Amino acid sequence: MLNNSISGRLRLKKLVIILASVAVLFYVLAPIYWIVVSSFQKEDALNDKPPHFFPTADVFTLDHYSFLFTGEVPEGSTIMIQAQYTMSGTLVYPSIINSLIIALAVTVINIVIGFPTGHIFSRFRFWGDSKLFGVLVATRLLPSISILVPMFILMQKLNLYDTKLGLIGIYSAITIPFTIWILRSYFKNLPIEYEEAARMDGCSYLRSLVKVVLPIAKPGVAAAAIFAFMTAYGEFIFATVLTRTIASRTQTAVLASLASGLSVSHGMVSAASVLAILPPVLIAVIFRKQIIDGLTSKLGAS
Amino acid sequence: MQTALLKEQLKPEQSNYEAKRFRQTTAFAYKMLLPSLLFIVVFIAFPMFYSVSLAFQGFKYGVPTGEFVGLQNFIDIFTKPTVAPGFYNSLGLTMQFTVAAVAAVIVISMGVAFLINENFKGNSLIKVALLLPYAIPGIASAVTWDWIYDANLGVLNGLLVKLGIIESYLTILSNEKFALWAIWFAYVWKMVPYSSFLLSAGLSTIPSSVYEAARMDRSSVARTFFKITLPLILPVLQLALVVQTIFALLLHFGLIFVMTGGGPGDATRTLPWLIYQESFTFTRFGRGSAMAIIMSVIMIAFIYIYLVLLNPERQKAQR
Amino acid sequence: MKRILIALVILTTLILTACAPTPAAPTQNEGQAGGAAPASVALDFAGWNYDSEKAHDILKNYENWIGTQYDPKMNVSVTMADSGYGEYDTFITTNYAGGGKYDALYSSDHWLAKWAEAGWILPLEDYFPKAKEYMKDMSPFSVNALTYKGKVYGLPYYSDVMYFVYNENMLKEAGIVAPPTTWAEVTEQSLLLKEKGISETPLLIGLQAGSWFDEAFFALAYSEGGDFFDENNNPIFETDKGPIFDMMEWLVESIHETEILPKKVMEMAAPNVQEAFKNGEAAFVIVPGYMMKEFNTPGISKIAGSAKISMMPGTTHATNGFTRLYVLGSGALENEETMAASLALIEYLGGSTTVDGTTTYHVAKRWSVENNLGFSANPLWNDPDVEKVFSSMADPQILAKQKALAQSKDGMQAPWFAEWISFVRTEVQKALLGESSTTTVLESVKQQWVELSQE
Repeated sequence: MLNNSISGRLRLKKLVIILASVAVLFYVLAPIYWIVVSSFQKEDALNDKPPHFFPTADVFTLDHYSFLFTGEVPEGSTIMIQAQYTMSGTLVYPSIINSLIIALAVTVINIVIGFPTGHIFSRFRFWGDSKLFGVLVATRLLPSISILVPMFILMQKLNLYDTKLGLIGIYSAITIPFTIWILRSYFKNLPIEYEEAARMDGCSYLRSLVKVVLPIAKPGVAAAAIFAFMTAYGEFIFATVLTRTIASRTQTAVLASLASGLSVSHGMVSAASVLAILPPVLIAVIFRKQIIDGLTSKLGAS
Repeated sequence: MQTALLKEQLKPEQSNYEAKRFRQTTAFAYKMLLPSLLFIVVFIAFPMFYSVSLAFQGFKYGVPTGEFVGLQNFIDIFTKPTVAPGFYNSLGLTMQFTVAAVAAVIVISMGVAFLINENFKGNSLIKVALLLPYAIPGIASAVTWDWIYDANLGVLNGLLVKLGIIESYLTILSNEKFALWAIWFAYVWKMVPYSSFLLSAGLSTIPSSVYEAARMDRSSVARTFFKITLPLILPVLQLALVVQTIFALLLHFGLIFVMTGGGPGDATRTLPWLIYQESFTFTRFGRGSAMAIIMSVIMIAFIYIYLVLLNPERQKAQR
Repeated sequence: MKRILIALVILTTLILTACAPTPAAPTQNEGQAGGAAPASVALDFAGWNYDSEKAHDILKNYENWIGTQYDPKMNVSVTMADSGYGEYDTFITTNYAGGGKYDALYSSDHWLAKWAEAGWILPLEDYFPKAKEYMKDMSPFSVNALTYKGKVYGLPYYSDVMYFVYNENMLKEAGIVAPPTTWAEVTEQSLLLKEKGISETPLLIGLQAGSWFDEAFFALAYSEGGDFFDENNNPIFETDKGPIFDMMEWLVESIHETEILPKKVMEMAAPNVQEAFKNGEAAFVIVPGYMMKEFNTPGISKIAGSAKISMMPGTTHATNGFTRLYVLGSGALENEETMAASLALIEYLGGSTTVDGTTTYHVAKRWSVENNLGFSANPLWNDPDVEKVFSSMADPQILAKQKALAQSKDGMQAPWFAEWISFVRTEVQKALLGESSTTTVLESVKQQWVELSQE
């Protein structure tokens, strides 16, 4: 009797898992599927009702992508003429490069600066430590829109307006508190014995940090790094207003202006989106082990 | 967690020594903190203070009138007939949205967290798939959902018609009843993965012996969850709630910008959008900054509620 | 681990060097006459990203032209910043609010008063008296759009009129002989089209909250002879009767009762209407003229050849005309050379200049012939190239007649217009959604105007 109910329960559990997995996969992947499929469909096909759910051979095209890279629309394309004028699609690729450069720089800065800082907060007691930490976290509580104008003034004064460096500065300031928060919680749950041993062996603080703590803190670092990267890559408000030429425009700004442009070509906007999505998705997939480890081993409370 | 320093500080006979160590540590700490502090002070503190000071100034057509108007901006927000109704509307919408978004994200990611904690063949595939909405930058996600919801050609409409659920295409983003929920759905979609991983980390700390004991006691699934699982992951849950609330209040802006622009009417004009409108469309930076301050206060209130409501009381009740 | 540190430092340095702002490439002024060393001026120009390639190309032509054909002493380079049209106002606002300046920039008639009042742009005619002369060449609704407080502020870039466009084939199929001349007829014909299953949504008007809403709304109001304000900017419209009230009631009825106008128009701007129309979804639309070419291009449009313009229905057949313009930014005050270069730029773009021997509105002509954009300068109608393009677009007689009846938006002369119209969009949408009665909405809109005017 017991055997039956156990195996019955197990079978039920298996069924639930399968159903749930399918549901989760569909939920997560469906929109992505659609935007990718849309980017490969001819413009007039995208204007059909009902839509073509699968890219069959007769609606497949690379027109949108070729426009984004060459600025030329191939013969016979059905993309709306006015949409071609407003797309300025050739800006998409350079803007993605900009976003990548900025995001990488911000990530590096976060690790270099945030790692020791998070460690200090977790290991040491010093005057004003909890208050300072509170203040750092509190800086995240003001919406970006309200510091937009002061930020603009600041950028002008520092001669950083319309530069990648300016955005790197702002994004670093935005992400460092979170990095510190993440790493601090992480360190708190890390055994201190190794560090103590290293210090007793005569290692300087920094050396012990790098030689001893860093190797075992990889998941925490991964979590903080990925967070900083994604935030910097996808930031919208500052990117749109504080840049004006392609020297510093990020994919966020270009994508937003394409979507709100004077005329819309759905295929091209989809293609531009797919290109913009590609780098972070690739990074997420390549480093998935580290990222997942980092996100799931975050055991601290605030 | 006790640091080496703390252990030392507990010995009373070394009080002089510990005071000196404390000072030394403080000096050292601040030296190490300097770079971070520099960034924060330059890029955040200055704009923040400036923006707060803006809330107390008058503006005309985008130019500060140079006079301090004290609390007038705040008073206007709450009482002026051309401003207050819009503000209360935004407040209501923002509350609605935040509560619904946080609830949905937490509940759904709890379920997903359970799923990914199970050991089964497709486990790693699901985890990788979950990374995708997280990896997609907010604007790309907004553009995608905007296209999905399109009232003329959107695939959601196409799907619903094909499945026979509706006859003709629905307007979603210009339907005052649906618009906010459309944004809510797109928002939740993007936020679930991060939360799922966080909660699954918390869940994985619960030893299976606990569940076995519960099963011995013939505890139902629901009872196990509420009386045993939940209290054990409380710290992680707390963290998730705080983080998701902050995100919900701030990060849906991009979605509104691309998808509805606050409309139709003012059906999706949440507080961040109202602040944007006041500051940039109407160039009333004073009033916009005042609204931003009010919004920050709300955020702090939420966080305080979480930290107080969920912490000491719950733990006391457990005992 | 030293290696990792070193690697990090190198990586960071590499990244930061990659970020170093690249100096603007110096422009070449070919064939420049030898002589006095030219003063080098760098102009800061801003616009939105409509056909950026062409806009930048035009600026490059200007850089070449100014030193060779205009004034050999001048050597100018222009950097153009562009943002999306949707954020352009925010973009410029933040810029100026933060203390930045532009030397010359695009603007639109509905922002002119705001920017002028804030001092971000200068009265063109004060520095360039010829601007007043140019007004003689422009259509009246344009002149209105280009002037603030009696002074000319800019020269036109793109000027257009909201036209009533119908799908001839659809009407033929339904047995309708002539396009509607009153809004009641529009309802009649639309109901017929619906009944016969020819079109589910016969009427489409872009009413998404944004600047296209304004163009459509005012076109509708003017078609019935509606008037919003008098010369002193006092609101004179009635809130429970009159042309504007009637027009709004008709819109509400079209959405909720006769159901010829679908609700989704509130998420559609003119470009979305354009898309739906060319897909054959509607029979009647209100769109700016430049969209006509695409309606009749085979391959791109599913209704190629059957899109036609008729006079705007209504008692007066009047419509709304709008103008985007080039304005002089406060940055030009920096020094004489900058001012001279900026003025030359504005004239090059919006005025009539001599390039390679011919004197005409070169840039306006280029935009109209290559992109189909409407223009303000009446002399251009006589240009054969322009004539060819526009006559292929629609019956030139109707075009001319409708344009003559175009009015610029009432109230644009008030600095608070931009703020007021944003409020109007939200309120009117409430009426269209059925959340508020037309009278309530008109009342609140009126009150808002009065309040704003008193601040």
